[in-house]
Amino acid sequence: MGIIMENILNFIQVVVLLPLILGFAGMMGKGKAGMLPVFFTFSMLSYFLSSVYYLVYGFLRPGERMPFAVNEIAECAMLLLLCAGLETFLTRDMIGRLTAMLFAVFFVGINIILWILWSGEWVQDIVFGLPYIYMLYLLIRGNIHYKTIGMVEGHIAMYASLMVLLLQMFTIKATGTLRLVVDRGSYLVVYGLALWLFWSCKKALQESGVKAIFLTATLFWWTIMVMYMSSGIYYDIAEAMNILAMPLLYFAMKKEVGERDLC
Amino acid sequence: MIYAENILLCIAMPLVATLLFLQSSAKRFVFSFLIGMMVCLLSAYIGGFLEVASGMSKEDVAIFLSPVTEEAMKFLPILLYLFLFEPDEECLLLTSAGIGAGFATFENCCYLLMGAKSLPYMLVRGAAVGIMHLVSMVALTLGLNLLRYYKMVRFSGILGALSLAMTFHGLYNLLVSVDGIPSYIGYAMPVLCALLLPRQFKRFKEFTRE
Repeated sequence: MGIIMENILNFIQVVVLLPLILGFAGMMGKGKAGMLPVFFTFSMLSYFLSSVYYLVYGFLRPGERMPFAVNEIAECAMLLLLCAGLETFLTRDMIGRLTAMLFAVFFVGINIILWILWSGEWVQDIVFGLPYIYMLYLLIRGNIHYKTIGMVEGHIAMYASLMVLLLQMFTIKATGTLRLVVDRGSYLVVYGLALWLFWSCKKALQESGVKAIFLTATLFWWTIMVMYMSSGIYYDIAEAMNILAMPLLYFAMKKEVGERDLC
Repeated sequence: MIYAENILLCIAMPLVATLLFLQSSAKRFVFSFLIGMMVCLLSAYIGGFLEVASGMSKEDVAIFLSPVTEEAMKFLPILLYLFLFEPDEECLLLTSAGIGAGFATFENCCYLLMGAKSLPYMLVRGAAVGIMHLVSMVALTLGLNLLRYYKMVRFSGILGALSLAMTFHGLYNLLVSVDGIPSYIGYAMPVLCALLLPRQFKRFKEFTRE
């Protein structure tokens, strides 16, 4: 049942990505859009290829575990190209670079440790975890600089997500009621954060393009992280959220390009 | 037994001699063609090493690891050329096309060593692989040129573009590993991209001229 659901969601993802890629590509070279739509187009194209690869693999080699996940390279490409797009908004002299880097390394580092403990694929998890660190670093810097969320809200989100990871880390060997309570509590927090980000994105989309871009990218990044933190039905919910986050990314870009043309 | 190195020598020697009589862009193309063939041989060495080191089967290495090593190896000379000599767009594109064509030619020659197949099959395979290596290189270079145009040549963009090429190659290898409809789709993939690429190239030229 889980595999069927996963494939259905993957198929929906492919279907959603196609018009988005065309939409992003349509913005290329328009007005003062610059390089931004180019990066986003190719980023979504990478994600599309990743989903297609996963679907094709599942169809051609059902039930066989990938010895080396090529689709994760595509996910890396997707993240790196998104990063390249986000970099266009950030200057080198922005403050808080060290803090952002430390938090990103610490947060994704714990995630990577948990991935390794769950899957045992340590080389792959470390290598493919690096783009997540870099993207979180850029997102923190951008969100702080453009004041996309309030200081208090930001800190609450930061500590809540960290608390979940630390709880998971310290109870990795736990079983029974403790495991159930920790897992349910963790899901509540991570999905709560995702919903809060959806709400913040909706607000930002009415305010400014750059704010919306950073917030939707944060939501997109977060839903991927939640996917990797979850299993079973929770994974499917996170994937559905990820699919919903993609059109928001497009609308944010559209708003930003529109605003640039007005300038 | 015929070794791949012998084939390389047989094809490379006349080309090396040709270099003495060529000038400018023709010389650059032939030289990059030679580099492409050598890169293909090096990739095969790395593939062989990975096969032993990872304990994966030959087929699995070809499907999962070769796209990564081959694309990275093809991209390295281009990256070196770009950063050391800072060539113009035309030169970079010519060099990448040469490397892609050289790589594909040598790979096709080595494929012949594994046993001759029917002419139609070789025609389809030769065309698809030839186009695939060429398409991935030209697309990568177009991406690099675009990055340079916007003065955005950064690590994330370059690595992102390379990873995209690896995935494209990986998907192709996965599809052609199974006989029947999947392999036909796989063979059609690079051909379709090759048909789309000249349009994008034209669009890029018009765009940069503006």
